[in-house]
This record gives sequence, structure tokens and C-alpha cells, in this order.
Amino acid sequence: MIYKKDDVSLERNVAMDLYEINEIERYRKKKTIARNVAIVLGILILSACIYICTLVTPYNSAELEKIVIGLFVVGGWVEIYLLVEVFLMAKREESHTRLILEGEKESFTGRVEVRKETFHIPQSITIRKVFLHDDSGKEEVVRRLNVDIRREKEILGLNGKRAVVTVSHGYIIAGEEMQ
Amino acid sequence: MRFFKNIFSKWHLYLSWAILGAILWGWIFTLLTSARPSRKLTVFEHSFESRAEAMSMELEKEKPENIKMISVHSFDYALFGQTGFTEADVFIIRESEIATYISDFISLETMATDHPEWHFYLQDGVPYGIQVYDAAARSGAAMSYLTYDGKELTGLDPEDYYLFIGKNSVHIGGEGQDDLAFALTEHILRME
Repeated sequence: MIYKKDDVSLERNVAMDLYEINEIERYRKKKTIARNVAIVLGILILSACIYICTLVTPYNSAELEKIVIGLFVVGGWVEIYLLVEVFLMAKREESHTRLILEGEKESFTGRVEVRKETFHIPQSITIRKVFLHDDSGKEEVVRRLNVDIRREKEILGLNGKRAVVTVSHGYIIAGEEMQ
Repeated sequence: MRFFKNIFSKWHLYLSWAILGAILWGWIFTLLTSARPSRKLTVFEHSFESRAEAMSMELEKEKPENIKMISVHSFDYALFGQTGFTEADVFIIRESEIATYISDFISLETMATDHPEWHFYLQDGVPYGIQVYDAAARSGAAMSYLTYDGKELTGLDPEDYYLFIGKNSVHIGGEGQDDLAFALTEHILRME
């Protein structure tokens, strides 16, 4: 039996909600901090490299070159981490979360099967497939859903159980085990 | 764990940055420490051991205004840049090597006239090189910086060393040139 309910409020009392309203603001702050830190760090690294260059003579150039390369490379790695792993990830999470929270919500009931395979959406997040089986005894897959692997912890607990899940744009945003 | 996993998943990005940094700053430092031949004086020496950097610094104490740097390199350095070697101003080599390089040096008649006290290497009666180390007397110039006697290091018998001026030097008083190679020679011969 499949139940479908439109107009499901995010604030409804369920066992777990994977997305929160205030997440977008949190990601925005994270983005701003990461970008500002990257800019300040970049300016500091370049300034230090330029300053060291002013101290170069033919006799200390080999030593100073090693220092500058070390500073530039390690500082650059920190910058890459900040921009790719923090800033870009926050940006992707923000747009994903906004899409999910602003999307139309539906609820479905069935037996949950959490698949092993994960899939990285290019320039976006990594997801795990979750199948929802018909619980009338036919065991047919009636819904192929997705869950953000960063939020999958609670969903893993529903594996093999009957549950009602709330979905937006094909992503599970909430779930509750049914007795 | 996820922290390291995320970093390793983008290893090519981090590696590319490291390569870019090494190439970029290598190039910038080459620009910073290089000078046109007309603005530098170069000495190539073939002693058994040398304190080339200290010798450069000592020579730079009397650096002329229009010269950016005075470099001292061992012959091994020549393996990395043939141009720098052939365009060098002053060479300090062993007597046994003179025949190999003599065609790359200029004659020093004027210096022989000005400094009759110096001992010159003569090629067909023409002075070419100035003796900087006398193996028999175990004395010479710039001995604080150059190890001329390699007996202990290599077992080779000690031999005399001579200083020559390269024919491709741009500091030998040709048209539009200065004659700083000669001043540099005099400075080296004064060094202890």
C-alpha cells in the first residue's frame, strides 16, 4: 500500500528531519568565512613571498628559494582546501538545501532498502540510493529515492523496516519508522 | 578520516600546485639572481675543493659600480650551462689542462709588461696565463678559498695552476667594453 500526502509541513513532528530551515544561513556564513580567510591568507602568503624576494642576493638565493617555494606550496594547499573543500562544498550544500527545502514535499510509506552504492553528482553532493518497496507483500520497488550521504546516518537505521518517508525533489528529508 | 579522504581524492590538484610553485619561483629566482654578461664577472676554477661563495663575497668587496655580481663557480658547475662557461671572464686551471683550453684564452702582453714580477705561462713566447699556484713552493693566491693540492684528496701529484682570461669575455677592453677582467685578475692575485 502506498500512501501519498501532499503539503507535508517541514515542522511536523517526525522521528527525524534531515534538513533544517536554518541550514541555509549556516552555509552562507561558512562560505563567507572560508572566502574571507582564503583572501587574507592569500594576501599574507604573497606579501611574505614578495618580501623574501627583496632580501635575495646571489649567496642566499638557494636557501630563500626553498623557503619561498615551501611557503607558496603549503599555503596554496591550505587555500585549495579552503576553497574546494569548505567554500565550494558549502556553496553546493546551500543550493542543494535550498532546492530541497523550497521543493514540494510528498510522503510515501514502504519498506526501506538502503543501497550500498553511492554516486557523486558532478559539481554537487554525493548521494546514496534508497529504494522504497511495496509493503503489500509483492516486494516491488515503488520508489527510487536519494539521500545525501552526509545526512544518511538516521536513514541507515531504517534499513529493512517499514517507514513513512518525506521526500522533496527525490531526496529523503525526513523519515519515521512505522509500528 | 573524511578529511584525508577528501584531500586524497583531489591529489592531482595539490600535486599540480606544488609543481607550479616550484617552476614559477625557480624562474623568478633565476631572474632575480641573474645579470647580463656586461653586468657580471664570472670566475671558473678547477681546484680540488673551493669555498666559492666566500670567494665571491670577498671579490664583491671591490665590486665596480656597473657590476651587479661577481660569481665564482667550480668546473663542475659548467656541466649545467655551457654558455656561462664559454662566456666566463677568468679561468683558474691546472697546468696539465692548459693545452685543452688555450685556444679559448686571450694573450696578456700588456699585463706582462705592467707586472714583470708575475710568472706567466708562455705559448710560443707569448704570455697567456699567470701563475696562481706554485706546486713546488706550495704557495699561491687565494689559498684560503681554493685547494690546489689534491694529493690527500685524490692521490694526484700536485701541479701548478694558472689564471687565464676568456676570449669571449665582455670585460677585456674591446669596443664599448670595460676592462674589468684585468682588474678582477689583479684582485684574485692579491688574495691570500
